Amino acid sequence: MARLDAGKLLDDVLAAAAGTASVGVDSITDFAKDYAQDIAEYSALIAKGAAPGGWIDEEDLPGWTKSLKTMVREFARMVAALIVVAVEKIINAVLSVIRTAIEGVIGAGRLAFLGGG
Amino acid sequence: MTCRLLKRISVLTLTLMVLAACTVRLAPEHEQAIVDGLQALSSETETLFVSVREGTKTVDYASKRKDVYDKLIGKAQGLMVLVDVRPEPKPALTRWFGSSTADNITKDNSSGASLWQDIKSLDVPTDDQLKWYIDEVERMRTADSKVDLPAEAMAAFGKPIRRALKNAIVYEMALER
Repeated sequence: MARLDAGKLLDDVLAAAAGTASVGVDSITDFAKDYAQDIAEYSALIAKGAAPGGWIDEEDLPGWTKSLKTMVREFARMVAALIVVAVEKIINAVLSVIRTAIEGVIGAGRLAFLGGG
Repeated sequence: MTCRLLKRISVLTLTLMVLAACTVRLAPEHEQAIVDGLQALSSETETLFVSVREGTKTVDYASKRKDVYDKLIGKAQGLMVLVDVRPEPKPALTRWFGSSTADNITKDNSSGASLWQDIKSLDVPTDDQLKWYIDEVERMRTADSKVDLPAEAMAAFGKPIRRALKNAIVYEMALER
């Protein structure tokens, strides 16, 4: 039976976590930049429409304001949801490294009886 | 002493083995039918916006666009059903965010508002993005039926409608592991 190299396992775990986290952070950052630009453009369009002579009537303004608020609220909500997915991917990448290391010691496929895969 | 050490090593090994055999699920499974449906809805929405990019006239609302709005809303509602029936994991962590405990901890004393108050919870966002999409399309349909709208109004209506769809697509595609 092979021995488990704890030092190598730790290095592999850290590398897997860092690699997965880096991809996750990049995609969330891109999403956030794109979203922030949408908020800026949307608020500018509303401001222009609500200005004197604009196409937004006074009675319709609350509807537009509510819509803008929803866009801002959903921004925070979406970033939080994407972080949850990224965290899940990091945890599973780490577990996968541990699983591979243990299978290297006890033999491939033997963890299957525990329901893994 | 040796016995205790052996016991600890055994417990640690067993814990590692059980952990390594598990897969953590904090978000639902990826479902291609939902992604395909969202992409089809996005494409039909873009077709509507191309046709109204110069603005709209109320005289041709009933003959040209009423059915298009109805179809978009109907398709979004159909997708909501698909999203609703998909099983969702409810991990303790995501239940905690959005709870009153989390609200109390993150409360801003000066305003009384909580960071999580508006987020409510970290539940799957797709359903709410579709609800938001439907609300915005309905708002646009009402405005279109009442008054002539310039090109700028079309650009403004397009922002939240496209954003809601984009949010849903981004999240659903992120679920592909």
